Amino acid sequence: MTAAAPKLDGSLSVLDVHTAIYQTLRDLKNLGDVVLTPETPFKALGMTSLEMLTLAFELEDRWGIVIKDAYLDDFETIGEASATVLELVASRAG
Amino acid sequence: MQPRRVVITGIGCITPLGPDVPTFWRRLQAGESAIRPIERTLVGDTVRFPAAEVPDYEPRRHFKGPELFLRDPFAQFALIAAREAIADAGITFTADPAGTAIVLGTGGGGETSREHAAVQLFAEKRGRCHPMLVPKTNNQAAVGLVSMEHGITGPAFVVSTGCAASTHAIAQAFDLIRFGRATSAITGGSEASILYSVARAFGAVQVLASDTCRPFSRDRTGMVLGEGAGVLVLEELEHARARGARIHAELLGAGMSADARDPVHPSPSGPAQAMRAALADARLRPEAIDHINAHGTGTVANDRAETAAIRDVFGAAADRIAVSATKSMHGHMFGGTGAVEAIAAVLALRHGVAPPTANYLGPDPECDLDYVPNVCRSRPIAHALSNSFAFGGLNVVLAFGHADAAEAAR
Repeated sequence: MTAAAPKLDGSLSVLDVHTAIYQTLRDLKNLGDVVLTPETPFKALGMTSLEMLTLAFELEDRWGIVIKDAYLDDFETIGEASATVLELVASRAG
Repeated sequence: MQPRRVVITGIGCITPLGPDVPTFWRRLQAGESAIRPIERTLVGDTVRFPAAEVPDYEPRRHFKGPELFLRDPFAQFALIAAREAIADAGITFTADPAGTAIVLGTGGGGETSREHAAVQLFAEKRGRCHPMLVPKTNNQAAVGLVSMEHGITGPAFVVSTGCAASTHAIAQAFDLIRFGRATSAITGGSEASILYSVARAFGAVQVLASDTCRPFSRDRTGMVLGEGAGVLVLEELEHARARGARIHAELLGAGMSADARDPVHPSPSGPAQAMRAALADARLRPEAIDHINAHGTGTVANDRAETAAIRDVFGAAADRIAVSATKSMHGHMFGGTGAVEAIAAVLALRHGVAPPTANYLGPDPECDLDYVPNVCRSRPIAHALSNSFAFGGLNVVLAFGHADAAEAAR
């Protein structure tokens, strides 16, 4: 839950965001040896709406961004979520 | 109905003195104080104060990722102490899950998570709370989690009377067993609130020590915040015997009272009434008590009032009682402190050792009892009391007896 120092020089990569989402998902749910990829749908992981909110909150904490509730319904895959996070980080940095 | 007899068959604790009962008891006898100067910074303001923290605590050593999302430190401490107490008792719950009660105490519940949320809401203006904030911070969260972890389905609730919470909890669990609502109980309490906001709040009431906790000593300056949990397994005597359980001690009685005087200033009358009620409940004469684990916070007012109360109840017999204030070593663990002190009293009975009152500099003319200053003392202890008093003037006292009497009774 501690906020990582946001990188303001634009060096945040897609890979960084993917890694952060993978880690948060594994902290949130017992995923065992399930392999996570950008194409993994949240539905396939059995994410509840409460768990999606928690994921969003953790990502907000990490990068100091605000993910609107409406976005959550649009996220189908890990890749879609990380694209939105990248955009929000970039717009905040600018 | 003749009340049933209740014994203690399991004890567990995580305290500023260490992660378990053996470490706690070793360091308690050695008179080692865990109090250190610390600081807490929030939104750019730093507060420095002495406190007793659980050393080298790493939640991930005890809980998996998903568990941490739902567990404030106060619940983590309760779960860890409950695991040790249940393992120590060697008790299982599968045969009769409804026969075991869970009664835990806490003062503030999830204060750590609540403070974090306040920063997010008011300082960071996040406009949203963590989705797990409510289930994580509820005072009853620890009770629910202990029930889930061990599959216990009997009566389960929390008692929240601040500094006396876990002692009141034990008194409630005691009655549940005595009067047949349960055959065993997981009871005690926890607190994790060594926080910026709590230090500021208690600092404002002017009860925090400037240096360390010196109960009953001259030049004492106040109480010191601590944290952690204590949990006991209580069991109906015949139930414990039937499964061949080792008995640490017998819980003989409990006494409760309210000062009905002042929100913060203690009076001797309420504590004296609670001690008398505990003695009457235990059917003990005052002369039978060898040891008292005092509330002994280290504030000028508490220690003076508690001394007067003990004098009032025991008269001349007070001079042969070893009165120990173990908060001098583990600090004031609020909702967890009474259970940890009850465990200290049980261990004192079991081993025939009164733990010391550490950091003692010399007598205060208004505190004239035998406080076992700085060095523990070996002496036979047949009966002991453990005192807890809370803001609001709410008092509770437990009376314990040596296991021999329970073992011999037939």
